[in-house]
Amino acid sequence: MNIAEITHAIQFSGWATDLRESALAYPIIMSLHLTMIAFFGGLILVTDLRLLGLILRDVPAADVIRGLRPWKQLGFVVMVTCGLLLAGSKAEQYAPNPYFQIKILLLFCVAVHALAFRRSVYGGAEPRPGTAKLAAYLSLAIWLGIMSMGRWIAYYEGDRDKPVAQAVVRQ
Amino acid sequence: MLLAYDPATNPLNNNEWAFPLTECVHVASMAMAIGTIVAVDLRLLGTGIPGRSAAQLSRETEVWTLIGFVLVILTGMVIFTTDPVLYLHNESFQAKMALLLAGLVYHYTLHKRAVQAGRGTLAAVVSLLIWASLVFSAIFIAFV
Repeated sequence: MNIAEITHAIQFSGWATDLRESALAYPIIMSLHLTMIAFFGGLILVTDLRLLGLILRDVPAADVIRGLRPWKQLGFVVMVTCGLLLAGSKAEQYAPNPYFQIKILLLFCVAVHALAFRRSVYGGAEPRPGTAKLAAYLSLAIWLGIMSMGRWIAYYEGDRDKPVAQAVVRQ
Repeated sequence: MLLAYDPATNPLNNNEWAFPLTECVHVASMAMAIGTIVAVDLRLLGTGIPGRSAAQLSRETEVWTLIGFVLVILTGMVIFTTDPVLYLHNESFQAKMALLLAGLVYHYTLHKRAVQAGRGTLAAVVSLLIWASLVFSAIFIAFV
């Protein structure tokens, strides 16, 4: 099985077809995806701004990390689930889309980032300011990249005569 | 002279990245405005960042909420100018503007009072619902 066969199989499986052709389910899942970006992405921003020492300076960074962690984890799971459903329902268009590929690559960077700073920043003890700032800058760069690529996916024209963006936005 | 002008040469009509870039700033500043509010609302619900009252958290985040609001509204206006007629006649856009107005008024009146008082489960739930609804109405602009 090559990539084209796999993406074709995903896109034309029962649930993917149902989702893609549903007038309601598709926009609802997309809305939920963006709501999680606002809620959970916003909390990532709050954490990063604290690590940079720009916000909530009177609160220990370790408290901010610990207090927001379960909510960010919940948001992350819902956000990624919705994202996978959206991408899966249009797997054939998404797989060759370079912006989608960069987005997936950046999601791997999120995992690498979390592992790299697991002890030094997110381990429970108050992080050293220099390390905290490095972690925050990298986190901001990765997440802003993911968000931007998510937007740009819709603007990749590929070989098509019609821009994907028009098909999506103008319906 | 006039005939020699070709609107297709106007960079604003040709620029491939200006629109999506504006959308990116729109989404990022939305996340900043709403995310800082969510951090305070979680405190009102008795969870989230420990050791500080909702009022204290609000005092230290409200500037970032405001910057987020200003940026999200400014970029929203820019996006609006690309096709005003389409947006004005779009029911989801109309709902979005009503929710934005309601959300802003609520945030700076009733919600603010609940945060100062340091209690208000309902105030936090209403706040989260308004902002989530706003995001839904934004996405549905493309689907109604």
